[in-house]
Amino acid sequence: MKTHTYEVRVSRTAEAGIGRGIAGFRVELEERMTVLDALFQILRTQDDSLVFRCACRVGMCGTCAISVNGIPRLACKTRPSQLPAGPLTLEPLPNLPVIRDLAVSMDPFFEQWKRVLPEFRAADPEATTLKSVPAASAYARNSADKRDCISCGACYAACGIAGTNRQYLGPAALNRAYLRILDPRDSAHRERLRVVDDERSGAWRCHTQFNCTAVCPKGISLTDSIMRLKRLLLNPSAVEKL
Amino acid sequence: MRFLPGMVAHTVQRLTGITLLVYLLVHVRTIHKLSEGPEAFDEALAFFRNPLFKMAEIGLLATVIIHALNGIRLTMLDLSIGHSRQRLYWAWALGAGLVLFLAGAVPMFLFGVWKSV
Amino acid sequence: MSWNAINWYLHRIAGALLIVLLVAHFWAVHFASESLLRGELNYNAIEGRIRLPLWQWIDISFLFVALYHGLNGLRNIVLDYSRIGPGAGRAITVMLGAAGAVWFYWGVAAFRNLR
Repeated sequence: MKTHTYEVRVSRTAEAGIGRGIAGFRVELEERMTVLDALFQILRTQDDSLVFRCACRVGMCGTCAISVNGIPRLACKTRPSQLPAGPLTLEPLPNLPVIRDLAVSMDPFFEQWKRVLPEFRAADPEATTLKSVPAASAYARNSADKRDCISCGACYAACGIAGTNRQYLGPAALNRAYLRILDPRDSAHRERLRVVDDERSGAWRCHTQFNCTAVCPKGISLTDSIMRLKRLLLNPSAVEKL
Repeated sequence: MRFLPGMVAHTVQRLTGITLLVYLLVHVRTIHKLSEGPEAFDEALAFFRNPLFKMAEIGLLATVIIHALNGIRLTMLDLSIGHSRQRLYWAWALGAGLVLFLAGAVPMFLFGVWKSV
Repeated sequence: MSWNAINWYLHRIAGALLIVLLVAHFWAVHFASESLLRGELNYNAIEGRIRLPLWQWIDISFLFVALYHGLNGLRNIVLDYSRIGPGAGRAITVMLGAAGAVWFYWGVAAFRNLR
């Protein structure tokens, strides 16, 4: 099968995790191969010390998010053949501490994630009948694309505010808060609204940069979620009418 | 992270905002001289009567125009209008801003800076 | 509605008002009279307009809204840096409020001794 040669520049850390450098490689890729394929080729045939993360390799788990030519993307869903010509620059996600090479610690991301009570909280945990949400219902329509988050961290990495404000909840957490607040079966609206109302860390810190929406591999309009959260905070009683 | 259009707009909004705030504070201090009588006020104005400040005034026009137009864009986005076209609206703000700027700046230059030089 | 929500909302209202007030102010300052159109800018040229209560009210309102919008904008920039802790953040808010009060006073006091 026809292959194309790509020059790949990968961000490396020294053994002890100190210092950064760029290592250059050349890889042969078929047209439909991905950045993840390139990384495996480097690992298997050129440098077996290269560190990167992956799991499902089909864009479902969110593990392989890295920065490709300055944009946070899923390595398994990015095809070099579809990028503009030129060297590929692979770096770890920004805004997150680098463990080694392309692997970052997701701790800051999940710290914010947990603050919004991301899991569903049933109004009656002892209920024996199911509360179903019909596909034509308001919740189903309003939450349609908000549910697709795979917590890959690309949005948090891209966000200009998360870069300077370590306390900021970030787009993923705010989107998850909004999704749960929308759910008529959930019981923790008030607690979540209180969390996202915080002056230094809440929805108010979003300044409509749209970086998050631009990089989300699932195409979620995260800025839209945060905007609707802000308007909900202007009129919290509207939660009941959602 | 690459500087995408939405981020450029945010940065421009902040830089122009700071510029306008600094201008406002200086402007109010100058206008305050009105209360000290004609001589004090006219002396304060004379300080700004040179081509450098006249050019800066033209820059101020550009600053306020882009800040206001992008502000309108942001307020529309706050109402969830046009999220899918936010980059286009930024381009429109720049385009309309240029037109409005030229409409104001050309006369200002010809009758202000050029005349005083 | 929390104070954060009110603040966010008022910032937008202020922005919208500023556009209207700016156009009015710009027209009044540059086009409203013959001498201004000629480019004469001195105490006499301005005093004719500024002694009228209507223009004083418009200018004072403009100043108040502009100070609120501008200083609040600066406050937002400060709040976006987590390096500035909660105590420092509150202190800066107080200082910005004080600066606003001082500048508002200077603006209003400009009309004090008009002939």
